[in-house]
Formats: sequence, C-alpha cells, structure tokens
Amino acid sequence: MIPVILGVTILIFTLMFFIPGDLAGIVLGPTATEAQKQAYRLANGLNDPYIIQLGRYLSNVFFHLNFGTSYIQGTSVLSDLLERFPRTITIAAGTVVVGFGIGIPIGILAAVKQDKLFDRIALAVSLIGISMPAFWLAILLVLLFSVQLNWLPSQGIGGVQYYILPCLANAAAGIAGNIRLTRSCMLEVIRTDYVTTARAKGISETKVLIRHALPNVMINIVTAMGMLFGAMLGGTIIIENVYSIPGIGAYMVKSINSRDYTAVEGSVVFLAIVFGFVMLVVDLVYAWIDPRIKAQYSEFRRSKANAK
Amino acid sequence: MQSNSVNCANESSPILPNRLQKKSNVKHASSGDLVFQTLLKKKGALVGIVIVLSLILLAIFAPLISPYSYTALNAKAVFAPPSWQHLFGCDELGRDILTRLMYGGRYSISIGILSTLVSTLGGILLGSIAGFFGGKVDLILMRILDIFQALPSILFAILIATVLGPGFNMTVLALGISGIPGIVRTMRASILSIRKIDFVEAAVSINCTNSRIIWKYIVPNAITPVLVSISNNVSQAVIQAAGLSYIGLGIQPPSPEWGAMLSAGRNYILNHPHLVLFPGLIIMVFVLAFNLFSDALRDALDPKLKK
Repeated sequence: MIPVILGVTILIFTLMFFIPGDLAGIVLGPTATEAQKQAYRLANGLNDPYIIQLGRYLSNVFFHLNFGTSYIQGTSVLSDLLERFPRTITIAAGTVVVGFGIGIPIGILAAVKQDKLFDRIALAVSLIGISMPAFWLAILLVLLFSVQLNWLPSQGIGGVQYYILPCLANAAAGIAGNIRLTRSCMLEVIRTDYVTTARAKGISETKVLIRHALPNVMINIVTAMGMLFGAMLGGTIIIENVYSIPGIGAYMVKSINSRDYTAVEGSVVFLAIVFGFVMLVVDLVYAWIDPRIKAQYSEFRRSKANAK
Repeated sequence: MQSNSVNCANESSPILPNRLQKKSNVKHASSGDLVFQTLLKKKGALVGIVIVLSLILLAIFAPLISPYSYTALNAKAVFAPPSWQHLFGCDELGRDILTRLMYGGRYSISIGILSTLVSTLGGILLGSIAGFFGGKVDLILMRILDIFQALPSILFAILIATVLGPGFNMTVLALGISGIPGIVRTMRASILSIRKIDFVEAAVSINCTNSRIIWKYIVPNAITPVLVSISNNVSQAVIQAAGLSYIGLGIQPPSPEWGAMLSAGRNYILNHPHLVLFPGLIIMVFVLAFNLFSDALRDALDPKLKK
C-alpha cells in the first residue's frame, strides 16, 4: 500500500507540474513586475528542476505532513482539509451503508424470486439507477423533498437531516450496482452442488440462503466493495457541490476554479491516501471473510521458504 | 524477419483459424455471428440499439428537424414552459431546449464514443502487451496500473481535466485516459485465458513476429469479453462528462452539451425546473439505452447463461 500511495503522489505531482501558466503570475496578480515574479519564483523554489521540486513535495507531505499553503487563502492546506474531512467521510460512509444495506437484501430477494414480478421490478429500477447522473438525481430529490414536501433542508450542514439527501443521491448508483451484482452472484451460487446438498439434507430454505449461499456471495461483494467505495468517494466530490456542503469535494472544485493548485494537489493526494487506507481495510476484511485467502497466503509463504 | 512474417501470412493463416475452431470452444471462435444473432433476439438489445441510433440521427439531422436555431435568443420566450410550440420549453435566454438537446447530442454522444475509443486503443495495446509477454513486463505494467487505479476514476478524470483545461478535445482526452486502466485489466485477463491455447504456440513456433501474433491471433480472439467493458465505458463516459461539466470543467455552458445545459439551468431550478429536468432525462435515456445494449451483449457473450 505504501508504494502505491507514494506512486499516486508522484503521479499527481507530475500531472500538476505540467499545468500551463505561470504560478508567480497567478499568485501575485497582473500588476506584478517581472522582478517581483522572479523573486517569488526564487523564494519558493519554482525555478528548481522537476526532480528537486518532487523530492521537496514528497518529503513535505510524508515527513512533515505539510501539504503546502493555499495561494489564495494563505491558509495551511492540511488544516483546511482536516476541517472538511469529517463531512466528506460522513457522506461517503453513509453512502456505503445505504448502498449495501438496501442493495444486498433486494439483490438476494430478486435472485430467490428469479423471473417473478419482484425480480423484474428490481432489475428495471436498478437499470434506471445506474443510468442516472447522481447530481441530477440530487437536484430532483431537492425539488421533491425540500421544495414540494418541505421535509428536508436543501443545502448546507447541520444535523443528521442535512446528510440524508446527499447520501441517498450518492448511493443510488451503488444501490443499483449492488442489486445487480448480488443478484447475479446469488443466481450462480444457488445453482451449485453444495447448496443442493444443503437442501437435500432438509435444512430450511432461509437457513440454506443465510448459512450456505450468502457467505459465498459476500466474497464477490467485498471484492466489488473497494471499487464501489472509490466511485462513491468520487461521487461525493460532485454531490457536495449540489448541496453546498463544505467538504473536501467542494473545497477542491472551488480551488480548481480559482486556480489554487496547491490546494487542488493537496486535496487529491489526501483523498488518494484515504482511498488507499480503505482499500487496505477491504483487503483485510476479504481475508477475514474468505478462509481460502488465508490458506493461500500461508501456503505462499511456505513455498517461498522452501525455495530458499 | 520481414520474410518470415510474410511466409507466416501466406502459408499458415488458413491453417490457424481451423485449429482455433477445433481447440477453443464456441466462445472464442466463430463467435461474431453467433453473438450477433443472440443479440438481435433480445428485446432489450433491440430497444437499446433503436434508441441510441435515433438519438444519434436526431443529433446529426438536428438542423433539418428543428425549426429553431440553437443559438438564437428570443426575448419573448424566456423561461417559456413546455408547450406545443416548444415541446421542452425554453431556457433563460429563450432558446428552444429540445433543439439544444438535439445539437447537444453531437457533443455528448461523440464525447462518449471518442473517449471510449481512446480508452480502448490504450487499453488493448497495454493489456495485450502485459498479457502476452507476462513476467517482468506484466509485473511492471500492473504495478503502474495499481497506482492509476488508486484514484477513483472520476477523481482521476477531474485531475486530468484540470491539467488539460476545458474544451471538447481535452474532455475526450481526460475521460479517455481515465478509462484506460479498466480496459487493460479486462484485456489482460482475457489474454491470459487464451495465451496457452495451441494456435498461439503454433504462431510462435513458425516464427511470427510478436506484434503479428498479438494483432493477428491474440487480440481478435481475446476481444469478445472486452467488448462488454468497452460498451459500459461509453455510458460511463457520458455520465462522467456531464459530471465534469457540472463542476465547471469539461464543456463550457454556451455549448449545448447535455451536462453543461444541466449545470447552466441549476440556478433556476426553483421556478423553472424544466431547465434541468429535460437535459437530465435525455442523459438518462441515452445511458439507459446503452446499458440495455451492454447487458444483452454480456448475456450473449456469457457461456454460463447459454442453455
């Protein structure tokens, strides 16, 4: 995981390095003289070769936890990010909970009732769900729940009620994806021999599903979980802008529009690190759920030891 | 080397496809016709194809179909609600929304298709290199890919769009590049499954050049599973393009791109919801139709579902 995060940071820095335009000109404004710009470049090491700037950025980020200073605000990027992080992670976590909490049961039920009415409705709804831009759904939800029914606030932050609509809008694609994934995995699993065996033993159908089929479906779901979490974290960036929630996504978009590139760079690196940690957790959960993985690892270690 | 590859073309290509048909199962060989036939039998696929084609035709023939111009301002029709004159109503400058959506298809649909073309070319190239050579090349490519995939794809697209700046070409490039890793993975997995089949070894043994083996024998036989991710990629790209426009990257508002229209209309949603309703609806219909097609394609290609 550490090499991947290091690699991502290098990738992001390299991409941002190629942004056209003169940084000193952006920061000092159009009235600055050439000498002032030159002095700024010297002071901030902007004339240094790429590799030295990269090294400085990496050591700042990883050894000093310093993401630089925002050009426009003059504040520390890290403290800006940390202040906004809880809101972003709340939406992302809420989205994951809603996405899996609703998606998986419906998917299982749809598979059990294959080709019945429920299955068809679930499939149709999930197909629509993955075809909608999340921010459009977000706007529609505002129109319905905030403007027409006046149940929920349309934007800003505050209590729990402010997070319901963003999570719901962001989770729609996840719910739909989970229904489809769970349904197709479940259909495969309930046709396997061990499920037939379990049924032949006379175990009740619910027990067959929960004890024998579900654990095997979960393995596939956890694999997809990481990718889905990525999509949800990415979706949060756009959703925050719809609901004017001052999270990292809104911060990032604001920085992009004001060409505050240290802040953009910091936000992306920060999100990449968060995403890296989540993927690590997913891997651990994966090994915990699937005993075969653990066995594989110990075997791998054994064969390596033998080779030596 | 040159003469070798010429020999290889003259003498052995009639043999190789036969061997291929015998050795690999239906999924790889003669799959083109079969898949196409199964596809046409599916109602979903047919509906999807018809909708997508008609949206493309509407975009192409927009000037002939619509009586309005997509740029002309009309002070009398500002915020006109949907009526028989303006089926989808008019926007804040009195421009007919239906007309703009038809012209917008030119941007949105071509962004979806062109960026997928970029992802596909890059993905097939890198995927086949990784899958065919294996070993160190594969390892290095996959580690680099891990790095690219450590960013959620929309975040990656936002980052590239920030660096490249707004505009049509740049959006295509940003979405195209961010779609490459997914296709590389599918391509590589598909190649690994046919890498050991005899016709590849036959091609190696008669001294075909590597590039010839990859392009003539491996890619055509490994491409079918990748078709599904390519097809999914188009609908994803259309949604992501709309998302980019919404946050101010991508295509900029005066252009009638669907996402840009949606984002331009969001300031007026309280009193004039039709400004955001219809652009979103058309995005959904296009993506839905494309997904119907992808689903049918996946089912047609999946040997497990054949009965």
